[in-house]
Amino acid sequence: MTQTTDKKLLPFLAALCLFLAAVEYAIPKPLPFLRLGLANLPVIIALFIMPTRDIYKLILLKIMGQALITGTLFSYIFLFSAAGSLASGLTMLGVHRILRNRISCIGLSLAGAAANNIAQLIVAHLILFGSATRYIAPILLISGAVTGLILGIFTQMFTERSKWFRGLHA
Amino acid sequence: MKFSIKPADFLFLAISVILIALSLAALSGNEQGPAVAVIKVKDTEYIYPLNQPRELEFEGVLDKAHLMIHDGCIEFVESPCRDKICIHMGQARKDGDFLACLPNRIIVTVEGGVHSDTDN
Repeated sequence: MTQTTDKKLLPFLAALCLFLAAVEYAIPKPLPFLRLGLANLPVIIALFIMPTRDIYKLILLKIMGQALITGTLFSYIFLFSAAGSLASGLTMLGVHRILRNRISCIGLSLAGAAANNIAQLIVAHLILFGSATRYIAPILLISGAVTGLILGIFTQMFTERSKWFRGLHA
Repeated sequence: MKFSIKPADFLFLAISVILIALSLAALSGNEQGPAVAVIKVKDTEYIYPLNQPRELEFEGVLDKAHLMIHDGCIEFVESPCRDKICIHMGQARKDGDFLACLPNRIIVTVEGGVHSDTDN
Protein backbone atom coordinates (compact mmCIF):
# COMPACT_ATOMS: atom_id res chain seq x y z
CA MET A 1 0.00 0.00 0.00
CA THR A 2 1.14 3.48 -0.69
CA GLN A 3 2.04 5.66 2.22
CA THR A 4 -0.65 8.29 2.03
CA THR A 5 0.78 10.74 4.48
CA ASP A 6 -1.50 13.47 3.24
CA LYS A 7 -2.28 15.34 6.44
CA LYS A 8 -5.39 16.84 4.90
CA LEU A 9 -7.04 13.50 4.14
CA LEU A 10 -8.19 12.62 7.66
CA PRO A 11 -9.77 16.01 8.42
CA PHE A 12 -11.30 16.05 4.95
CA LEU A 13 -12.98 12.65 5.35
CA ALA A 14 -14.02 13.47 8.92
CA ALA A 15 -15.60 16.70 7.66
CA LEU A 16 -17.35 14.70 4.95
CA CYS A 17 -18.77 12.44 7.68
CA LEU A 18 -20.03 15.53 9.48
CA PHE A 19 -21.59 16.94 6.32
CA LEU A 20 -23.28 13.67 5.39
CA ALA A 21 -24.54 13.28 8.96
CA ALA A 22 -26.14 16.72 8.57
CA VAL A 23 -27.70 15.68 5.24
CA GLU A 24 -28.98 12.52 6.83
CA TYR A 25 -30.36 14.47 9.80
CA ALA A 26 -32.39 16.60 7.39
CA ILE A 27 -34.09 13.58 5.81
CA PRO A 28 -37.30 12.60 7.60
CA LYS A 29 -37.30 9.12 9.09
CA PRO A 30 -40.36 6.93 9.61
CA LEU A 31 -38.76 5.47 12.76
CA PRO A 32 -35.81 6.88 14.70
CA PHE A 33 -33.58 3.86 14.11
CA LEU A 34 -34.18 3.58 10.35
CA ARG A 35 -31.25 5.41 8.86
CA LEU A 36 -29.52 5.60 5.53
CA GLY A 37 -26.02 5.45 6.96
CA LEU A 38 -24.68 8.09 4.56
CA ALA A 39 -21.90 8.99 7.00
CA ASN A 40 -20.39 5.54 6.45
CA LEU A 41 -19.39 6.46 2.91
CA PRO A 42 -16.16 8.26 3.94
CA VAL A 43 -15.23 5.34 6.18
CA ILE A 44 -15.56 2.88 3.29
CA ILE A 45 -13.49 5.12 1.05
CA ALA A 46 -10.89 5.53 3.79
CA LEU A 47 -10.32 1.76 3.92
CA PHE A 48 -8.65 1.94 0.52
CA ILE A 49 -6.59 5.09 0.94
CA MET A 50 -5.64 5.51 4.61
CA PRO A 51 -3.41 3.63 7.05
CA THR A 52 -5.20 1.61 9.76
CA ARG A 53 -4.26 4.06 12.51
CA ASP A 54 -5.99 6.92 10.72
CA ILE A 55 -9.08 4.81 10.14
CA TYR A 56 -9.48 4.32 13.90
CA LYS A 57 -9.29 8.08 14.29
CA LEU A 58 -11.81 8.61 11.50
CA ILE A 59 -14.28 6.21 13.16
CA LEU A 60 -13.99 8.09 16.47
CA LEU A 61 -14.34 11.47 14.73
CA LYS A 62 -17.38 10.18 12.88
CA ILE A 63 -19.03 9.09 16.14
CA MET A 64 -18.35 12.46 17.79
CA GLY A 65 -19.35 14.43 14.69
CA GLN A 66 -22.62 12.56 14.25
CA ALA A 67 -23.49 13.01 17.92
CA LEU A 68 -22.82 16.76 17.70
CA ILE A 69 -24.84 17.18 14.52
CA THR A 70 -27.84 15.21 15.76
CA GLY A 71 -27.61 16.61 19.30
CA THR A 72 -27.48 13.19 20.92
CA LEU A 73 -24.00 13.40 22.47
CA PHE A 74 -25.13 13.06 26.09
CA SER A 75 -28.27 11.00 25.54
CA TYR A 76 -28.75 7.26 25.52
CA ILE A 77 -29.10 7.41 21.73
CA PHE A 78 -25.37 8.14 21.68
CA LEU A 79 -24.77 4.62 23.01
CA PHE A 80 -26.62 3.20 20.02
CA SER A 81 -24.81 5.26 17.43
CA ALA A 82 -21.41 4.81 19.09
CA ALA A 83 -21.82 1.03 19.38
CA GLY A 84 -23.12 0.82 15.81
CA SER A 85 -20.40 3.01 14.27
CA LEU A 86 -17.65 1.26 16.22
CA ALA A 87 -18.89 -2.22 15.27
CA SER A 88 -19.44 -1.37 11.62
CA GLY A 89 -16.16 0.55 11.29
CA LEU A 90 -14.06 -2.16 12.89
CA THR A 91 -15.85 -4.92 10.98
CA MET A 92 -15.35 -3.18 7.63
CA LEU A 93 -11.70 -2.57 8.53
CA GLY A 94 -11.14 -6.21 9.47
CA VAL A 95 -12.98 -7.57 6.44
CA HIS A 96 -11.12 -5.27 4.09
CA ARG A 97 -7.70 -6.08 5.56
CA ILE A 98 -8.40 -9.82 5.26
CA LEU A 99 -10.07 -9.99 1.84
CA ARG A 100 -8.30 -6.98 0.23
CA ASN A 101 -9.26 -6.88 -3.45
CA ARG A 102 -11.52 -9.92 -3.30
CA ILE A 103 -14.27 -7.67 -1.94
CA SER A 104 -15.77 -4.44 -3.29
CA CYS A 105 -17.45 -1.54 -1.50
CA ILE A 106 -20.73 -3.42 -1.81
CA GLY A 107 -19.64 -6.32 0.38
CA LEU A 108 -17.91 -3.95 2.79
CA SER A 109 -21.03 -1.84 3.12
CA LEU A 110 -23.21 -4.90 3.71
CA ALA A 111 -20.78 -6.20 6.35
CA GLY A 112 -20.76 -2.80 8.04
CA ALA A 113 -24.54 -2.53 7.98
CA ALA A 114 -24.94 -5.99 9.49
CA ALA A 115 -22.38 -5.27 12.24
CA ASN A 116 -24.00 -1.91 12.95
CA ASN A 117 -27.44 -3.46 13.34
CA ILE A 118 -26.26 -6.38 15.46
CA ALA A 119 -24.46 -3.96 17.79
CA GLN A 120 -27.55 -1.76 18.04
CA LEU A 121 -29.79 -4.74 18.71
CA ILE A 122 -27.45 -5.85 21.51
CA VAL A 123 -27.54 -2.36 23.06
CA ALA A 124 -31.33 -2.26 22.63
CA HIS A 125 -31.60 -5.64 24.32
CA LEU A 126 -29.41 -4.56 27.23
CA ILE A 127 -30.76 -1.10 28.02
CA LEU A 128 -34.09 -0.50 26.33
CA PHE A 129 -36.33 -3.28 25.12
CA GLY A 130 -35.09 -6.52 26.66
CA SER A 131 -36.61 -9.57 25.06
CA ALA A 132 -39.02 -7.40 23.05
CA THR A 133 -35.98 -6.49 20.91
CA ARG A 134 -36.82 -9.39 18.64
CA TYR A 135 -39.86 -7.50 17.40
CA ILE A 136 -37.73 -4.70 15.96
CA ALA A 137 -34.89 -6.99 14.80
CA PRO A 138 -36.33 -7.98 11.40
CA ILE A 139 -37.27 -4.45 10.35
CA LEU A 140 -33.89 -3.12 11.45
CA LEU A 141 -31.95 -5.88 9.66
CA ILE A 142 -34.02 -5.67 6.47
CA SER A 143 -33.80 -1.90 6.19
CA GLY A 144 -30.11 -2.05 7.13
CA ALA A 145 -29.36 -4.58 4.40
CA VAL A 146 -31.26 -2.53 1.80
CA THR A 147 -29.65 0.80 2.68
CA GLY A 148 -26.27 -0.92 3.10
CA LEU A 149 -26.60 -2.41 -0.37
CA ILE A 150 -27.60 0.90 -1.96
CA LEU A 151 -24.81 2.81 -0.21
CA GLY A 152 -22.34 0.08 -1.19
CA ILE A 153 -23.30 0.25 -4.86
CA PHE A 154 -23.11 4.05 -4.80
CA THR A 155 -19.69 4.01 -3.15
CA GLN A 156 -18.44 1.37 -5.58
CA MET A 157 -19.55 3.48 -8.54
CA PHE A 158 -17.92 6.52 -6.99
CA THR A 159 -14.59 4.78 -6.44
CA GLU A 160 -14.58 3.48 -10.01
CA ARG A 161 -15.22 6.91 -11.52
CA SER A 162 -13.52 9.41 -9.27
CA LYS A 163 -10.17 10.71 -10.51
CA TRP A 164 -9.48 12.06 -7.04
CA PHE A 165 -9.89 8.58 -5.59
CA ARG A 166 -7.83 6.94 -8.32
CA GLY A 167 -5.03 9.38 -7.65
CA LEU A 168 -4.94 8.48 -3.96
CA HIS A 169 -5.48 4.77 -4.47
CA ALA A 170 -2.78 4.27 -7.09
CA MET B 1 -24.39 2.79 -14.43
CA LYS B 2 -21.88 -0.05 -14.41
CA PHE B 3 -19.96 -1.24 -11.41
CA SER B 4 -17.98 -4.37 -10.64
CA ILE B 5 -18.92 -6.99 -8.06
CA LYS B 6 -16.37 -9.17 -6.30
CA PRO B 7 -16.93 -12.75 -5.10
CA ALA B 8 -16.82 -11.90 -1.39
CA ASP B 9 -19.69 -9.43 -1.88
CA PHE B 10 -22.05 -12.36 -2.25
CA LEU B 11 -20.77 -13.81 1.01
CA PHE B 12 -21.93 -10.73 2.90
CA LEU B 13 -25.15 -10.56 0.94
CA ALA B 14 -25.80 -14.14 2.05
CA ILE B 15 -24.89 -13.29 5.66
CA SER B 16 -27.34 -10.37 5.58
CA VAL B 17 -30.12 -12.60 4.25
CA ILE B 18 -29.37 -15.29 6.87
CA LEU B 19 -29.50 -12.69 9.65
CA ILE B 20 -32.89 -11.48 8.42
CA ALA B 21 -34.17 -15.07 8.23
CA LEU B 22 -32.94 -15.76 11.77
CA SER B 23 -34.60 -12.61 13.11
CA LEU B 24 -37.88 -13.61 11.47
CA ALA B 25 -37.57 -17.13 12.88
CA ALA B 26 -37.03 -15.71 16.37
CA LEU B 27 -40.22 -13.74 15.91
CA SER B 28 -42.53 -16.63 15.05
CA GLY B 29 -41.32 -19.42 17.31
CA ASN B 30 -40.60 -19.61 21.03
CA GLU B 31 -43.36 -17.54 22.52
CA GLN B 32 -42.40 -16.68 26.04
CA GLY B 33 -44.54 -17.01 29.14
CA PRO B 34 -47.28 -19.50 29.88
CA ALA B 35 -50.18 -20.17 27.56
CA VAL B 36 -53.26 -18.09 28.26
CA ALA B 37 -56.92 -18.63 27.56
CA VAL B 38 -58.62 -15.70 25.87
CA ILE B 39 -62.30 -15.97 26.65
CA LYS B 40 -64.69 -13.85 24.68
CA VAL B 41 -68.09 -13.50 26.29
CA LYS B 42 -70.53 -11.53 24.19
CA ASP B 43 -68.28 -8.54 23.43
CA THR B 44 -65.92 -8.69 26.40
CA GLU B 45 -62.57 -10.45 26.53
CA TYR B 46 -61.12 -12.12 29.60
CA ILE B 47 -57.61 -13.54 29.79
CA TYR B 48 -56.49 -16.23 32.24
CA PRO B 49 -53.18 -18.13 32.42
CA LEU B 50 -53.51 -21.87 31.97
CA ASN B 51 -50.90 -22.73 34.59
CA GLN B 52 -53.14 -21.82 37.55
CA PRO B 53 -56.21 -23.98 38.28
CA ARG B 54 -59.38 -21.93 38.36
CA GLU B 55 -63.13 -22.25 38.10
CA LEU B 56 -64.85 -19.69 35.95
CA GLU B 57 -68.43 -18.64 35.53
CA PHE B 58 -69.59 -16.43 32.70
CA GLU B 59 -72.99 -14.95 31.96
CA GLY B 60 -73.58 -15.61 28.26
CA VAL B 61 -76.59 -14.56 26.20
CA LEU B 62 -78.55 -17.64 27.40
CA ASP B 63 -77.45 -18.16 30.95
CA LYS B 64 -74.42 -18.91 33.14
CA ALA B 65 -71.72 -21.23 31.76
CA HIS B 66 -69.07 -22.97 33.88
CA LEU B 67 -65.53 -23.41 32.67
CA MET B 68 -62.55 -24.94 34.41
CA ILE B 69 -58.85 -24.37 34.07
CA HIS B 70 -56.81 -27.31 35.36
CA ASP B 71 -53.62 -29.19 34.43
CA GLY B 72 -52.69 -26.58 31.85
CA CYS B 73 -55.93 -26.77 29.89
CA ILE B 74 -59.36 -25.20 29.82
CA GLU B 75 -62.73 -26.86 29.22
CA PHE B 76 -66.45 -26.22 29.40
CA VAL B 77 -67.99 -28.03 32.38
CA GLU B 78 -71.55 -26.81 32.27
CA SER B 79 -73.41 -24.86 29.65
CA PRO B 80 -77.03 -23.82 29.26
CA CYS B 81 -76.97 -24.44 25.51
CA ARG B 82 -79.06 -27.17 23.86
CA ASP B 83 -76.55 -29.40 22.10
CA LYS B 84 -73.60 -29.13 24.55
CA ILE B 85 -71.16 -29.07 21.62
CA CYS B 86 -68.89 -26.84 23.66
CA ILE B 87 -68.59 -29.47 26.42
CA HIS B 88 -67.95 -32.22 23.87
CA MET B 89 -65.14 -30.20 22.32
CA GLY B 90 -63.15 -31.24 25.38
CA GLN B 91 -59.96 -29.55 26.48
CA ALA B 92 -57.98 -26.75 24.84
CA ARG B 93 -54.32 -26.47 25.86
CA LYS B 94 -52.08 -25.56 22.91
CA ASP B 95 -51.60 -22.29 21.05
CA GLY B 96 -54.39 -22.08 18.49
CA ASP B 97 -56.77 -24.51 20.24
CA PHE B 98 -60.25 -23.13 20.66
CA LEU B 99 -63.62 -23.90 22.22
CA ALA B 100 -66.86 -22.26 21.25
CA CYS B 101 -70.40 -22.12 22.49
CA LEU B 102 -72.18 -20.24 19.77
CA PRO B 103 -75.70 -20.27 21.27
CA ASN B 104 -74.37 -18.72 24.47
CA ARG B 105 -71.79 -16.60 22.59
CA ILE B 106 -68.71 -17.70 24.52
CA ILE B 107 -65.54 -18.31 22.54
CA VAL B 108 -62.26 -19.52 24.06
CA THR B 109 -58.91 -19.47 22.28
CA VAL B 110 -55.53 -20.48 23.67
CA GLU B 111 -52.60 -18.22 22.85
CA GLY B 112 -48.85 -18.47 23.43
CA GLY B 113 -46.78 -21.08 25.20
CA VAL B 114 -46.18 -23.10 22.04
CA HIS B 115 -43.41 -25.20 23.55
CA SER B 116 -44.51 -25.15 27.15
CA ASP B 117 -47.29 -27.70 26.86
CA THR B 118 -44.95 -30.63 27.44
CA ASP B 119 -43.59 -29.50 30.77
CA ASN B 120 -46.65 -28.62 32.77
